Amino acid sequence: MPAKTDIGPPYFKDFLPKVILDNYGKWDYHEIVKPGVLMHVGESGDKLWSVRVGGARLICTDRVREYCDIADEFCDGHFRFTSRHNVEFLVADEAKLEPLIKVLTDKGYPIGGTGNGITSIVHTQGWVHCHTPATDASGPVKAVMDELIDYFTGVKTLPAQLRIALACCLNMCGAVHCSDIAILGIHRKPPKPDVNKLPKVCEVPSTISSCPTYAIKPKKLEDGTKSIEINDERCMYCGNCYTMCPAMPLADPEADGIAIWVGGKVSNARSGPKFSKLAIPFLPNNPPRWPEVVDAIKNIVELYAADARKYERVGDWIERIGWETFFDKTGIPFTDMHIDDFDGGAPPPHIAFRTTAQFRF
Amino acid sequence: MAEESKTPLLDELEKGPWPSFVTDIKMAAKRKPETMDLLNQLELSYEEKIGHWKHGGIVGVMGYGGGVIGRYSDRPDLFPGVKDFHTLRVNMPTGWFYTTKALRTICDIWDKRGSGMTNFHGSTGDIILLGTDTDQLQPLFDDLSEAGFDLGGSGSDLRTPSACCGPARCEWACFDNLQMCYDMTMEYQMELHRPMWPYKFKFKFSGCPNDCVAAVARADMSFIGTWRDDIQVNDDEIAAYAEGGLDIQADVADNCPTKCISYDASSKKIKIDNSNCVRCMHCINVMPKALKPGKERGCTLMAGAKAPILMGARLSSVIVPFVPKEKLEPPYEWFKDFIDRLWEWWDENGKFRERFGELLDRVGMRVFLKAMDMEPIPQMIEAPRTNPFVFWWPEDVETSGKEAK
Amino acid sequence: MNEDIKKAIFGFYEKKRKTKTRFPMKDIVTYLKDFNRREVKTTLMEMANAGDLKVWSSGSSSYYMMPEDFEKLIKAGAEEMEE
Repeated sequence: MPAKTDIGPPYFKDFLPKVILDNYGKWDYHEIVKPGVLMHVGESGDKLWSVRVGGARLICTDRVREYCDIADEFCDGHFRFTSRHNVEFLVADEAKLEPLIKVLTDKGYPIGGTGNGITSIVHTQGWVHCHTPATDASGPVKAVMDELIDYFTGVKTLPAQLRIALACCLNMCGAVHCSDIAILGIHRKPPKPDVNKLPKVCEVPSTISSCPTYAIKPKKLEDGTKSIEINDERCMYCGNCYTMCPAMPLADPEADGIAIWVGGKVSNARSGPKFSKLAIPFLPNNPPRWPEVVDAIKNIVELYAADARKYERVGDWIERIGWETFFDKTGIPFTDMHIDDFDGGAPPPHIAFRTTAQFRF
Repeated sequence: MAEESKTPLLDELEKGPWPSFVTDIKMAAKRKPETMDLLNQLELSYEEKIGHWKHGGIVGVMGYGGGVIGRYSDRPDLFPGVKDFHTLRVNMPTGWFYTTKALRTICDIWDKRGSGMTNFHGSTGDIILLGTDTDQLQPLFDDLSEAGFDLGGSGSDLRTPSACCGPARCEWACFDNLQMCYDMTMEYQMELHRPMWPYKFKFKFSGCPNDCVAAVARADMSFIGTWRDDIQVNDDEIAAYAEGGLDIQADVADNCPTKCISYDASSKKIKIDNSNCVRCMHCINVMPKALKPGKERGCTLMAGAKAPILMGARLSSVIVPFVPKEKLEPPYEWFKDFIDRLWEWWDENGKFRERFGELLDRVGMRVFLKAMDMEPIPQMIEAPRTNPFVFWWPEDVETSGKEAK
Repeated sequence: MNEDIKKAIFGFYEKKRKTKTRFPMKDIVTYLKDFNRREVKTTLMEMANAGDLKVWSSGSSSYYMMPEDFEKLIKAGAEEMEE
């Protein structure tokens, strides 16, 4: 019997615990009881606790089943994931709260990610599954979170929330373009196309038009077949052509690496959403722990923690002290690569649009 | 005698306090030979500092044009288990709320037909079932459908919409973003499963201007919950915060972006000049017991966000300042008409692989507004243009010429 | 299914297949400009459902192809992998 199509996801209300259904749309306030533990209070007086636990995102079914076992014991079978890969156990019965926390702690799950600290690092596939990676994703994430764990568990706090994201290439799956600290996989060498194979596996016109800097031109081969050639000087190794055409690989183990970007945000609180800006153009891929990347990020985080005022996000802090002070204090070299030159520097129209929900009626 | 590990680099990442993905891959690898190949191929990537995946081709499921991402190892000689290792996107329940029963069902199906590795969740929000071969795709879909699950989007379609936890858990949700996210997912199943546009299109629904689902950065159509009237103030709770040691002047009033809050330390009262409040949420974030969003609630519609490829990253910008809550509930007549006309315009005018925001930049906002029969308003811009290269509608020149006479 | 449109779509492929084999929906809709846009799109999707056409997706964008060309492309990809 053929499967039913177009049925959509299960209805979310069928998955909500009773305390949420009873208080849906009628919550009064919430408090952070301690790092990783939120308490939500309904207008009815009902209480719900969310216990937030670090999640690796790339998890096996055994792990999911373990989460389920824990949720069955303490949460009447209800839990959720956050938009940043963490897990939240939903506790309706206060008597179960501390026993749950003990079980999670005994199993080695870090509890935290609330308040003014670091939550999980949003990331995607990297070398685990991506076809265009310039770096791995899960590896650097693990390395950085291991180093900065105290900012997750609340042992150390920050002036405001600090959101870190990682993208293994310029496609930037995830909100890397708007994060307090962004880890971006980059290539630094143009593709080496197999011009003879290319017309057989790729559409030449789409490949040519895929290049943001018009670095790809048509070229006829000796036998008259239409292929392409690359103007290396115009190529900035974004890899979009490779997305369109597998005969244009550009990954290079020594040239590929990681760039660090800073100062982005998405919320409207105090200041509006901002793009991340380039801080460090290149750090090498050094598996398994990427020490240069970890050190660079730790340096920025510690400086921010010591220097920023309460509620200042990284971007707000840098704007107040000035970018020259930022480069000076972090010791990061400022280079000609830091100066924007995409499309001759002319800002596109959307720069002048209202990219925040902050407005007066 | 213990065998020497074949994955010494990855083993390193089992140490340390953060949950280790390597531990999880190894757990699944015990049961699944293809996952052992995944582990070993990953180790090779760590040694060689390069990826080993090829993409493309397979769409895989009868009747749909998306939801499956084709992946093939480029070293099937070494790792035959991952020769085909495709990904299936499963539309998650809105807000990522689960019952253990539902999750165990997914685990049972996946353990039967795939690698045992998952992502909770992918970037767009779907459940990712990571790694199965071509002939398991249809049976996998059949099993999931039987269990009440459906695929998410991929390709040039409507991608799976996502929402923050909204009224299910948050007192700041200004509209039922969970319900609307679900309803729009169901309404546009055709657009989600059958790619028919120049490129992808994303909806994201945040309940308030804190934008916890990053809608302003990541959605072609961003819904940001907001209110239109005065912030609700509880004077007693304000006094309680002050007595509890909160420095309301420094922490709250001084951080207001428009300086519209004045605080009187002697009476422990605040006054908000709401006409100048831009609803940033900071004061509410700091004093959740004392301050709440106003009563006249709805959302701001912003549009055009995307990641850098092809013409640079974009944030969404304001296109409809306030849609009242009543229009954000079934039957959604206003919104359905609006989005149908917007999609029609983008589909007709957009080039292949041109995102909605890029089309807006290429043809100009005035062209979009005219096509949608919308009035330009100052809330759409940060500031008026600085370059003098202004296009005029010829009919306006005719008219103003006549008036001048 | 609108048989006139279906015939016209096959005509499109007959003409264009010499230079390209993968076509985004847009290319076909633009070529069939004398027909109602929505009807063309609906017919394309119905043809894909019925197997008259195949959808090839890179994951980020989607193309419509004749089934023979689709099979050839999948095989070409496979040959590349076996090198």
